[in-house]
Amino acid sequence: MLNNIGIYHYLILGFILFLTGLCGVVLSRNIIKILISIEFMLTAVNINFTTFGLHCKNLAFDGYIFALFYIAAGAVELAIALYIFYAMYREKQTSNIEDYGDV
Amino acid sequence: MTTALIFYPTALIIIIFSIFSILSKKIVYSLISAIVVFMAAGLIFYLLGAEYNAVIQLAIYGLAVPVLLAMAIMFTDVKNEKHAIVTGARKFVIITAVLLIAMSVVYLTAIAVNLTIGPIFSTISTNLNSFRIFDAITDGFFTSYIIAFELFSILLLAVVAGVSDNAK
Repeated sequence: MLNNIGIYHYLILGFILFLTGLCGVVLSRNIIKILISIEFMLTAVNINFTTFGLHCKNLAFDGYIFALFYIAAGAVELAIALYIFYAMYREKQTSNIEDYGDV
Repeated sequence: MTTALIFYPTALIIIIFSIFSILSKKIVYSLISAIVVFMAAGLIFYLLGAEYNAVIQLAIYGLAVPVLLAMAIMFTDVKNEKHAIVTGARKFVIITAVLLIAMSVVYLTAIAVNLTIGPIFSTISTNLNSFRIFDAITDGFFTSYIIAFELFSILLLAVVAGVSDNAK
């Protein structure tokens, strides 16, 4: 009954996760939840990189290496974003992103 | 067949918990759901033959990132979220994204139960060999992408130095 798993399965899963993250970014007002949604999008991109690294005839596995770079970039982005959030929070005392319009 | 038996439940977990994470009003529940999603994504990497990526995913996204976010939640008064008012362009983006998610889930289910033809293009699957993958990754890091690797090292160092300096 079940097909073998191919490139399309992973790409569709990455697509769904990316769209979910996009919805989270658009829907949420809470900065932490927006950051979590951005991490979902980064994870989806990593799934795509790894999928193409495996399924394309590329023995250097470049997709795997790009995914590792992307994980590092995601961690850096989160650290900086949380630092900026905390710096703004000390001034505004709120996590609602609409209250930071004048920053 | 074994891959399919692992892939479909993992994909279901990722979809359900990611949706729960963005819809949950309590930020802590949202974070816990996100941890589940990140760990399940690590399993997807393992299925793709990227064991190294899976370990890094579990270590950074499964442990380090949630700890950072949990600390941010603890140090601030971020508990619950207010209702979001979705209007205009945001409503259009949400409706389009929800429709695309629904179509993707339907298509994934259809190819799972053989209702569609499935993939149109033939794909080339590389014969997995863990030693060859590790060899290729280390070779890529230290020869082909050595400049990018060093730039990322400098970037990480700059972030650590900058945040430490400003945290005084």
